[in-house]
Amino acid sequence: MSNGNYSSELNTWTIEKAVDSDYKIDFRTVQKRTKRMIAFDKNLSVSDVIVSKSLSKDLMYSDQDKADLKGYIDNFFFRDVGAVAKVSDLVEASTVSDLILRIYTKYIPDENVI
Amino acid sequence: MRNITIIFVLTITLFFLLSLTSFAGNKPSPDEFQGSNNFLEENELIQFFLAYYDISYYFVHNISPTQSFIDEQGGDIRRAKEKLAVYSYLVELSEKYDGPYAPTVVLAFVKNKTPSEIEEELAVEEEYAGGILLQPYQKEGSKWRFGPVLFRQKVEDWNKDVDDIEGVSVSYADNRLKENRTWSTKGSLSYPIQFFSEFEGDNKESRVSYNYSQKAFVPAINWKYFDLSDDDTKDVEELTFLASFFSSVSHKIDRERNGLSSWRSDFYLSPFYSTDFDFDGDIIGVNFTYEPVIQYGEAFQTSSWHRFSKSLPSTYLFRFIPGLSYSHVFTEGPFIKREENDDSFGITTSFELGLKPFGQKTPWEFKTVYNLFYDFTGEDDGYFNRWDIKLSYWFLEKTGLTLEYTDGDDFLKKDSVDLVTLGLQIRL
Repeated sequence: MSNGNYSSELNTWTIEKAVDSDYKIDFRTVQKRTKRMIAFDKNLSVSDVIVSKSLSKDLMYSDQDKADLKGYIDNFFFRDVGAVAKVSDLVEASTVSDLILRIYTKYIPDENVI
Repeated sequence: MRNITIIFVLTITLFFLLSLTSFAGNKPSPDEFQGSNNFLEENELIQFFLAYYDISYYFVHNISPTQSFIDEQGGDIRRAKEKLAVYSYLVELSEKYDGPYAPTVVLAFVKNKTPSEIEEELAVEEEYAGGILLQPYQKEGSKWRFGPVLFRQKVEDWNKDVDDIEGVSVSYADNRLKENRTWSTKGSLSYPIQFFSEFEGDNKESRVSYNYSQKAFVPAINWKYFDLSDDDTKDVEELTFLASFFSSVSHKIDRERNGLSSWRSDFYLSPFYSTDFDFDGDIIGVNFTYEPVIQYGEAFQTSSWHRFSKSLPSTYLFRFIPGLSYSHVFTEGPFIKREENDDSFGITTSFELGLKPFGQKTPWEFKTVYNLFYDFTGEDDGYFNRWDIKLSYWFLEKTGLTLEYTDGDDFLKKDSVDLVTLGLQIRL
């Protein structure tokens, strides 16, 4: 993961959870947040993170980098919806699209998605 | 004669496998999916994206949509799964362009170009195909995964991306002036059985590295064959049955302190039985190898193709694989230059350097491999080495033309090798 300044990004999600504890997330928002997470992690512009990109070939994610996304998913970008990523599953994600799908269908509890 | 029959069967099998990859048309075009009007409706878009991005039935089948999502799709579970599989593409398309979607717009989207650029390039066809032979099998919730059948040059490449590996090579030459023919093939057929262990995340801090490990049993058959029709003394035959055990461990690292981004260790323990195609000679043994898979920042990575920098398209491959090797000759054979009951034990090391000068997705690829073996039990100079130099042109994603030069020693049979081959390379 890159060493960027992430305080403003993290505050956004913390506030969101505090305001609405019954918040449910839709696919579109999962996609938006996942792109922001990758952009933040790799110090890219969000517009550079397109869903067809390969995590390893295009975005230079090693298996360990993918595994480390668990921290961002569980604790920041999807904390308000109770996401719990599985590292064994994360390292299998091949594209941005694949990662979005895994977060939406596997890591966020069903009761928190629309 | 029997050898020729074996090679013939092998070649036919390979070409059968090759035929399962798609040659013609390559990537599907959106206009193949449009209905009676000139636009692609949602369902047509779903089918197009599934085909374009080569999303398998296995992948779709394993998606678990929520009940509310299924209800949104009129209770149709299959449609819900298919839509979810490509939902991110539908969302991104709608963010970029307003509907309805003409084929040109959809093609512009998937190629990340503008519709006007696409209109100018309509004659251009995508180059690569993506045929799939067999899907892996994994029961939902199970930690075991079986298959698929893989054809690669080395069994150690079973878990690497197709882009990062070398395939089975087949070549045939007919020298009509000297009236001799040459057959050559080299490769590995394997069927991995993987086991995923429990993974640990030891605290809730975001920047902590998480450990994970993977294990696998990879039964495989390796073969190497070179047949010169008018001179049997120069023939090469090797048929090796392996039962490889693989273990991969990801190490926890302190990124702030040492700059390493990731470090994984891949271990192989491979008992083997080696013979020739007529089962005349017998060698048994065991190989142990260790491959460090490390990433240092974004500039350096081992074991897979990696760009020199974000601003340069050129990619490189670097692999370093040290190991130990033991073998024992049970029965001498025509292709073994060792005596009966001869033991050999030593250190092996392999350095591999590759270059794709024009980028990851371009067809040209250059590789050089230096293999070293120091035999502790050798009476004379115990050093053996071998160079492999290859230039490949991948005219399809999984099929290429390779010019290969091998010079040095065969470590197992302690025989000299000096070969130049030009042939097909297939990786599945």
